[in-house]
Formats: sequence, structure tokens, C-alpha cells
Amino acid sequence: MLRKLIKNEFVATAKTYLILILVCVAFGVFTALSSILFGSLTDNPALMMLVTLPSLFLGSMLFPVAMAFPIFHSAWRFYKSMAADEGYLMHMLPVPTWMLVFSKGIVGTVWVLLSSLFGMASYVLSQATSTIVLAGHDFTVSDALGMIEALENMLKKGLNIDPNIVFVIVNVALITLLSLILSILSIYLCIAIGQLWTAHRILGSVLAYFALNAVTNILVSVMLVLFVIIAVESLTAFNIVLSLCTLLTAACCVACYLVTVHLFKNKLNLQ
Amino acid sequence: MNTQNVTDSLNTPILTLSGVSKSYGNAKEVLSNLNMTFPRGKVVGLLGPNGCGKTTLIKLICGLHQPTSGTIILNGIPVGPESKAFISYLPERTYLPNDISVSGLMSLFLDFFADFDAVRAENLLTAMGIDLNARIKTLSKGTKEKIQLIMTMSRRSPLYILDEPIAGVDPAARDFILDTIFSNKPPESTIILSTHLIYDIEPVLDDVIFLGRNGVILGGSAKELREHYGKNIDQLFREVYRV
Repeated sequence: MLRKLIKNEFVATAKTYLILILVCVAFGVFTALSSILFGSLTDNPALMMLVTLPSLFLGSMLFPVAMAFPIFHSAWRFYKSMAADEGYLMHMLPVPTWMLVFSKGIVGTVWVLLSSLFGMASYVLSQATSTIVLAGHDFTVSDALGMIEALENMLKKGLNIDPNIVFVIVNVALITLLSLILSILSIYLCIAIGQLWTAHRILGSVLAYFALNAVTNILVSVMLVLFVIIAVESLTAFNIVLSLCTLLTAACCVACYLVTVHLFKNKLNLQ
Repeated sequence: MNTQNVTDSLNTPILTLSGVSKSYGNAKEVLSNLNMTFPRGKVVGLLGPNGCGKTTLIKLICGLHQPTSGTIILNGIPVGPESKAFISYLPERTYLPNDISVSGLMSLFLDFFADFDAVRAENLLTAMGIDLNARIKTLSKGTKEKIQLIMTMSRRSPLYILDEPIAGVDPAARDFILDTIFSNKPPESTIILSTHLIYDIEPVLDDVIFLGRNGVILGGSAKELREHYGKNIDQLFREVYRV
């Protein structure tokens, strides 16, 4: 049943996100090609700036949009299908509540990750080519090969680095992923709290979100202070604190998920 | 399942409520100590004025709400995720997701409800002139309500729960709704039909339950009640709920 839920959620959301990903790819390719083409046509720096700057600006906007849009869209879909009228269909499916929340969370996370990756790739591509062209170079095949070679060297070096550094990299990657999941699950939790209200449920969710954010900010501030006090001692101490932060983020994810499931299972309040 | 088991399961009630109460927070109880048994193969009218707890009772049976106390047994199992496979529920609200097509909705029902009869649904939808490829969001409210009814009645469930299916519709739509319900109901299935519009459905009711703020006011066979009180159900309703 969980597989079917995930499949249905992917099918229902695929069109929107594939368009977003396509826009990211098209933008990256278009700006890169136009920069290369324009760079080969003129040597006038002012004219080149005029062409590349708007695409640089748009590129820097696209990445945050590609990351934020799926989070908001996922939240809106969650509200509609779990707390609004569509909830009558969703909650009447013969599946436990944890599966409903889990399937939506997993699909939301995958789309946020994918669109962020494509948004970032598109941004990097447009920025790199524009910067090279603005620097007065003609972008050639050897430039592209040089970039690939540099990437390869970085990876090779990465394999021989200090295990403590690898640990930091893994921890940072993990905490980034967990933070992303937490950002989605915390919105789900706020929607679960907001639906308890008889009226103005969206307002209730927004207020719950502000309240939850206030608590989170206090926690993060305390963590940062601890981080500064303890982590500067040594790389090992830094890693211990970082691991604790990762664990704490994971614990917050689990708490948000469990409370959301509890509220929808025992306190469902469809109008 | 052998023949004896089939016979046994058909003899057991489809739904049993024992000591079911429901209150919201510290507010007064909406339902208090309900004890009811619903036999199989009947059409039961759940009658009462607005706010008497009909929808709350339905949500408890559907597992959308949890009772404050008491137990609800549906088709031999306590109400929970598994029991939802045995209920085909038509709520008052339009629940169709806007971002899929009519055929997508059918796929969703096929995926999750083993008793969904896709051929029947397709025939009914086609007879209504509904395009299976149409996106739900492009359809009118009336068409969405028809699709919802067709999807509900295209399941071969032991229990159908229809919450105010004819409220706020014109007479032609009312005829369509009642015809769709009763021409698609399997004989062994039970229908619980909640309404305050008694006149139109009275001829099809086998049993009635008059629900009040303190529980069941009156209940039993529609025929016996008519004979006993010398009034039809509509007249009885007006008398019971007279202010």
C-alpha cells in the first residue's frame, strides 16, 4: 500500500515538478549557450555585460525558487489532501495514517532535492559560462575539458584526505538533508496543528509555524553557542558537536513526524 | 472460506456500536452511550435535524473520528484502517482531487479498493456523458458530485454510508442520485443514509433511526413504526422533532 501511495503522489505531482526542472535545465543551457555565442561575436565588454548580467541575475533567482517552490507546493498539497475536503478521500483509504504522512513526506523530499539539484546545476552552468565570457575568454572545448579535469582532481584528492575531514563532509551532507526533511515535516506538523481549529485553519497553521520557528531558533542559538565554545578545541571536538547537531536534527524530524501522525490519527478535524 | 463461514458472516450484523460516546474537548457530549446494531442487506435512514450528531456518528463509523468511549465493530473487526476497505463513504463535501483526470481517479480507486468495479464505473460515467480524460478541475460542481456518487456506488462494499446525498439538489438531480444508489446496491449490502429530507427517501427505507442530542430517540423497522403510530415517517419525524 505504501508503494501505491508513493506512486500516486508522484503521478499527481510529476507534471508540476518536471516543468520546474525543465525550466531550470532550459535556463541553464540557454544562458550558457547565449553567453558563449555572444562572447564569440563581440569583444565589447559593455555590450557583453548588458547581455550576461540579466541572465546572471535571473540565474541567482532561479536556484532559491527551485528550492523553495517545492517546499511550499508540498505544504499546500499536504494541507489540501490531509486537512481540507480532499481529506475525505485520503483518510478513507484503507491505510494507516503513518503511511499517508510518510508517502507525502518522501515524495516532497525527493522533489525538493531534485529541483534544488537542477536549480543549482543550472545556476552554476550559467554563472560559470558568463564569468568566463565576461573575463574575455572565448569558451572553448579545452575550457570544458579543463573544468572536468579540475573536478576529477578534486575527487581524487578527496579520496586521500584526512578521515576527520571526510567525517565533517558526510556530517554536513547529512545535516543538510535532514534539515531539508525537517523543513517539510515541520510544515506538516503546523498544518496538523492548524486543522484542529474550527475556522481559519490556514491562519492557525501559519501561527503554529511562527511559534515552532521561534522555538527552533532558540534551540539553534543555544547549539551555536555550544558549538563555538566546544568545537574550537579540536577537529575531534568539532566532529562530536557536529554529530550531536545531526542527531538532534534527526530527532526533531522524528518528533515532527510522530506528532503529525498522532494528530491526524486521533484528532482529525475535517470540516 | 467455506459455506458455513459464508452463512455465519452473512448472519452477523455489518455494524455494531457498543456504549459509544463522543465529546469534543470539554464541551458537552455530542453522542452519548449509543448502542446499535445494523443488519446486512438493509437501507437504514439516519434521521435527525441539523446538529444532532448524524455526521459525527458517521465519522466515528468511518474511523475519521475516535470515540471518547465505547467500541465500534464493522464487518467483524474494530474500526480502523482495515475496516475502511469495507465502507464506501459519500461525504457531504466534494473530495475529488483537482490535479488528476477522471480516469486517474478510477486508477486510484482500483489501486486502493479491491471491491471497486471499474467497468461499472466506466459505464455509469459514459452514460452521464462524462469524459474520462477530463481533468477534475475543469468540471462543474454538479458533475463532480455525480462522479463522486458513481465512484462510491461502483464499489461492491458490504456497507455504504451516504451523508446527506440529496441535500441542496434539484428534483432531477435527486432522481438521478436515488436511481444510481438503489440500482447499484448489492442485495446483501447495507446502506446508511443520513438525511433530514425524509419525504423523497421514505419509500426505500427498511429501518429508521431518529437521532437526538441525547442519543437515539426512536428506531426500528420503518414499516412497523408506520403501523404502530399510524403515520408515515415524514409525519413522525415532524412530530418527534417539533420545537
